[in-house]
Amino acid sequence: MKKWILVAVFWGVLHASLAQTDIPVALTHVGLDSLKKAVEQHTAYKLFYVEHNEDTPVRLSVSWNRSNFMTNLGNALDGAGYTLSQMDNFLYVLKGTGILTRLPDSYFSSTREEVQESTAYTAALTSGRTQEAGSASKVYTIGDPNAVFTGNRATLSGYVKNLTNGEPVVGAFVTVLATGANVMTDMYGFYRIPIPLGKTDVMVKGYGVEDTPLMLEVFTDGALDIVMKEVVYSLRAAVVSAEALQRRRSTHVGIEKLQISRIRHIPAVFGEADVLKVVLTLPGVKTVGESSGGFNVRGGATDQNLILFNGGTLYNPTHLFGLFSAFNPDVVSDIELYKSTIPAKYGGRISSVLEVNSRQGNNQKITGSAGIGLLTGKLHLEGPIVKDKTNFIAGARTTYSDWMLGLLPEGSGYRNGTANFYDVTAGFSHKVNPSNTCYLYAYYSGDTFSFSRDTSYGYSNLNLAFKWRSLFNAKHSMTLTTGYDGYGHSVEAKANPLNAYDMRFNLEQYFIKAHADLLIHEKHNLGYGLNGVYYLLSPGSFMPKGAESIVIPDVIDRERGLELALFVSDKWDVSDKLTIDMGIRYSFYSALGPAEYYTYHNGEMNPESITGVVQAGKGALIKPYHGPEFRLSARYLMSDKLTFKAGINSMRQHIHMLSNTASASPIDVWKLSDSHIAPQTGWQAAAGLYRNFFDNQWELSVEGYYKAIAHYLDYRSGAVLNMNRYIEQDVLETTGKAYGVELMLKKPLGKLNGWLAYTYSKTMLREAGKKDVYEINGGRWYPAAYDKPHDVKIIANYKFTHRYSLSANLDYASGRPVTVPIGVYYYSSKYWFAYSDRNQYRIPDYFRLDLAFNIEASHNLKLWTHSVITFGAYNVTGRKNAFSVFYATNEHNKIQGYKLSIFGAAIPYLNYTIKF
Amino acid sequence: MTLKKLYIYPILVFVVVTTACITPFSPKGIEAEEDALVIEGDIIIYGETKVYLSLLRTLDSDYDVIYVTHAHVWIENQQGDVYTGYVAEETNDSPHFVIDTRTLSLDAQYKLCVHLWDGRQYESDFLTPLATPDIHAIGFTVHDTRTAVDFHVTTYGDDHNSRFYKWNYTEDWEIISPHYSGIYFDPVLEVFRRYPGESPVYYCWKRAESTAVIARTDHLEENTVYQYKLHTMTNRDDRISYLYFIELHQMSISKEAHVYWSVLKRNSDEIGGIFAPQPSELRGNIRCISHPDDRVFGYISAGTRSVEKIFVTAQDIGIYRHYSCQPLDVSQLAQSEPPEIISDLEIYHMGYRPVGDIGDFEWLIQECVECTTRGTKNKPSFWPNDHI
Repeated sequence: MKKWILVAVFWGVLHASLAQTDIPVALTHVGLDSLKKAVEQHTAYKLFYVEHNEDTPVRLSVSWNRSNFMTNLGNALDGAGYTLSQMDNFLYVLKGTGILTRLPDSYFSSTREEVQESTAYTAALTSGRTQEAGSASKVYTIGDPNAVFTGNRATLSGYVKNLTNGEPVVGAFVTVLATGANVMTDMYGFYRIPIPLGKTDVMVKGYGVEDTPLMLEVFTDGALDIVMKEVVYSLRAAVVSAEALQRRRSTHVGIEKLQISRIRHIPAVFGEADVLKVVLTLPGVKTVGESSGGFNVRGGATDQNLILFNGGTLYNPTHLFGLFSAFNPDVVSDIELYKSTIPAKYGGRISSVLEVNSRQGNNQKITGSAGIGLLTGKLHLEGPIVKDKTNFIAGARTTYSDWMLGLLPEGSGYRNGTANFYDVTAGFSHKVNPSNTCYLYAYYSGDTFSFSRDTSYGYSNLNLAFKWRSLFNAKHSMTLTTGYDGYGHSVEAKANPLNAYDMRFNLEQYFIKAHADLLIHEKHNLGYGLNGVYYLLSPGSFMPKGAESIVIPDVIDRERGLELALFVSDKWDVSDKLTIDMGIRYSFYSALGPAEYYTYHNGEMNPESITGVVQAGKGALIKPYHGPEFRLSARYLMSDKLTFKAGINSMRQHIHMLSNTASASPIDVWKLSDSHIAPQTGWQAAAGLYRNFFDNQWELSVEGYYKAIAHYLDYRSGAVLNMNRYIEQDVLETTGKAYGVELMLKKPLGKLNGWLAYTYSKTMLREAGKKDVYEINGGRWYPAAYDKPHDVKIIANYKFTHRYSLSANLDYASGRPVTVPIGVYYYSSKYWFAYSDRNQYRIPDYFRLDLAFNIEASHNLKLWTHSVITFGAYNVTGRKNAFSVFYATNEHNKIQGYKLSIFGAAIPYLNYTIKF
Repeated sequence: MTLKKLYIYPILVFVVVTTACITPFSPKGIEAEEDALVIEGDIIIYGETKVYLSLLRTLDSDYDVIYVTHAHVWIENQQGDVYTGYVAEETNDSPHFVIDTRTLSLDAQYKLCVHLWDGRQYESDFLTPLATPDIHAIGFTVHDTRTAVDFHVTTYGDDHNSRFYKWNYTEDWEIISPHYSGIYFDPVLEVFRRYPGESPVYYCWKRAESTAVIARTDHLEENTVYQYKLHTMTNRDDRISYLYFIELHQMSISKEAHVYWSVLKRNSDEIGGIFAPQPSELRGNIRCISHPDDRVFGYISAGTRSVEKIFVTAQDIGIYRHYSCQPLDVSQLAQSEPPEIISDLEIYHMGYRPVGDIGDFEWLIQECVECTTRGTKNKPSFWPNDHI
């Protein structure tokens, strides 16, 4: 118990709040009796002491002011061999060890990591202002008991951390039980909540951590860091987790949040935990085909998703042509997907925002992992550089996947390919002082692949971001992020030396984002800020490769664009039941000079209608586009268990991906809006009902939405999208509409946990404008390539015991639309197909079941090694799902349709993991 | 601080079986416009224009082409002069129309018109004929591995010529059987006979017509088509087994025509791949003027045509590998006890033919003896040797 006494002493040094006046006090070479007088004169404390040896009276020199009274006094006494203990308003100065004035935090908890815990608390105290709380059996004092009461509410803020490794607990709910007010911690684990004065109870809940009730006595605004213990499997307990609350309590419609621990439990192809594939298991998210890059959210195109990794934008978050995502699961903390209500601080894409956050790293000790999987070798390290101040986390992966390509079918075009990829993620965080923290993030991913010896492809992402987070005061905080995002790809062909070439595309953006939160009133939480992005895009360069090549070097002029947005939002707690989140974002965009472009007669963009050439000077605004974007959502608690939410939002997007393949390809190029290509715009209205059942163990939700998209790009027949200077002559403006209903039944925790989701949705596109001749389907509505009306997804995990668990993943979807041959004709000595109108037929329905069985062989904490065995199978039923269809002449000289299945059989895998 | 813990995750793989595969599939309810018209025929300035009319068929129909000759076909210039087409008398080509276009000029514009028996009327756009440069050479390059050979074309155009090219070629080749046999087995009378003269199954010929090959030079400094690949043949290809002939026709085409042909080829070649483009709508330069909603297939180009032809012998290329012709070991066939007698007729029906003389011969597989398995006795009139 010895160390607990020490802890208790430091616990005594709570706040300097009892130092009544702010006049600095300095004592030089005084005895304990003089100290007692000075303390009692200048503060509200009573000081008692027992002098140890009266022969050599102790002499102290100490100075303090209101804020450092306890620390300085404690340190001065410590130097003289005394300890300072506090109980309420009484201070005790004793020789040697102090007295235990309250029970240690873990007195009622069973943690074994006592040493760490005590050091954590000690460290926290030296930081001065903030307490840490984690015990249910103790009253924590918030603010200055002697301050004059002003109003009846104060603001409580702080961080929620994981007890074991000090990492922030993201997405935890802090609820004031008396008022029902609740907030969710952000990606830093930070929370801020209005709280009534006096004694009050607070409940903190998070995913994977134990629910933590706290008793507080609130005097004024104050800070309280909350430490939470990782949950020990409780198989039967009715635990309400943050996951159960989040959909019901947050004002956002269509928000999904997943922790990496959940992602790891979902069976994946080749057993590789995959952040993006998990997104596909959520209702409302679809993809053109398994193993294709990109995803579609509620009828949006693949380029309409903003994918943020630590604040930077990822343009291609996949490896191996889309088979795997480019996020290292060892480094990722959580993902958050906004399908409908997009907060005002985000913009630039019209369908969704997917935020992927990396962990900050263990702030207690250096840990790491190294592994070899079927496809990748990986390594990751994390830990403190300066304990409790500076952390790092870094991970790297590389592949040796060539062998796998050999297993793919002949017709897939992959079989004779070679492929290589790697990614590196690094993050640093540094706590400058309790109110200021800075972060540095770096990410690089690279892919090279070739289908034949002569032609090779490559693409890479580079993201760098610096983030500064500052808490101005208890009610006001700001995050400033600035950084660089780069994406590029290249194609090298050298089959014919005379025509050998090297074609490249490159996209860079420099961004700054400032976002502030201000609690202006107990019912109004204001957010405001600005975003700025400078785009620098090299649409293409086509260069000769080798001395013999007679290819004309061709470099398309760079495109530049500037996007600025100002936003303000207000989360208004109208009543305990009704909360409204209102936001407006005004965005301004213009392509910037220098640039040269055609003008066209009457807006008809074809070579015959060119009327002139415009030269725009350096920095000139070529064509400004600007307008407001509205974000409005509301939540109404109809009862304890039933919530209603609705929202509407409008969005603008100034960058377009040029793609005319069914699924996004890694060498698709991007294009900025300019004088001819207008920004994509879209709006979505959505509403949902959320109901909890059986002691909050089950949650049922229904969400419906309607979405409209304008200025989406499609292309004329034969349009060449690479190296095209005048792409405006080849694009067809397209409008889209999408609507659907998503049903979800979720059980976040317990022996059986997971979700079941059913979606009905339609996504239709139509060539826009009034024309004499339409190029696509006569100007009629047609289904988008990812229109899959019926969609069932089940993710389930069943824990038989602490040792054995079974995970299942079921995916059913209607077949996607395809354009198929409807006839055949003989022309130029060959038979050719005549095709149907676009997307008029469908491939067979998709069905897949994956199973995994996990055995955690040893639970004894004292064992040196721990092993986890997972065996499972992807596509257990071996169904030959069609990825694509094609036609060929069969042996009876008839035309036969064929479907290509990428994973046409069950793919078993076995992982044996050992940790030590 | 030291590295206290290092987690190692060695992941063992027991079995991985990815049987990605291709299986038959037919979507339901497909409806084709069964009688949509297909018009093929470039207007050949200073030459003869052939126009083929045929109909679109459904996917499940048999493969035969239905040609249409019950129609009026003509070429018209902007002054309204008409060049009428007549149904060709030729019998060794598919039914088609012939128009005498020797007197057409490069300086006028022409359109092709078709009126069908059922009242449907079609017209192409007015086309400006393009002059094409001479073909500089047809050549071939043997792969380093000596397993295949590429045939290619080289053309030097100038700045006045179009930067887009289209070629068609016909190939004729002679096949000789790996083994000469003066005798044959008559399966009706079950007797061996001597051919009265030379063996009629030693020399054979075959003919093929290519589809269009297109190329562009607009991304190059010079209007040069250098060794552009026409096709590739492996060292097992009959075409290079003895004597090979290729006649290459070149036309310069417009950029729009190049787009048409590249979309046509892309729609057919690339569909089914993982990053395959969606099939694009194919719009030719012919319209149905009587029923504007009717589909019509084909693209008409106009211009001069240059022709180049070469003969290449198997020795010139030097990579052809003959069939492996091992004589049949008849005793091996009779494995049962007591050995059962296998008749000559049975051996004949197993696909073997006699080589040698009556009473002293070996059985070889048919392909080693009879070239008619791979060709015909139709010898082209221009063939440079005199055996039959």
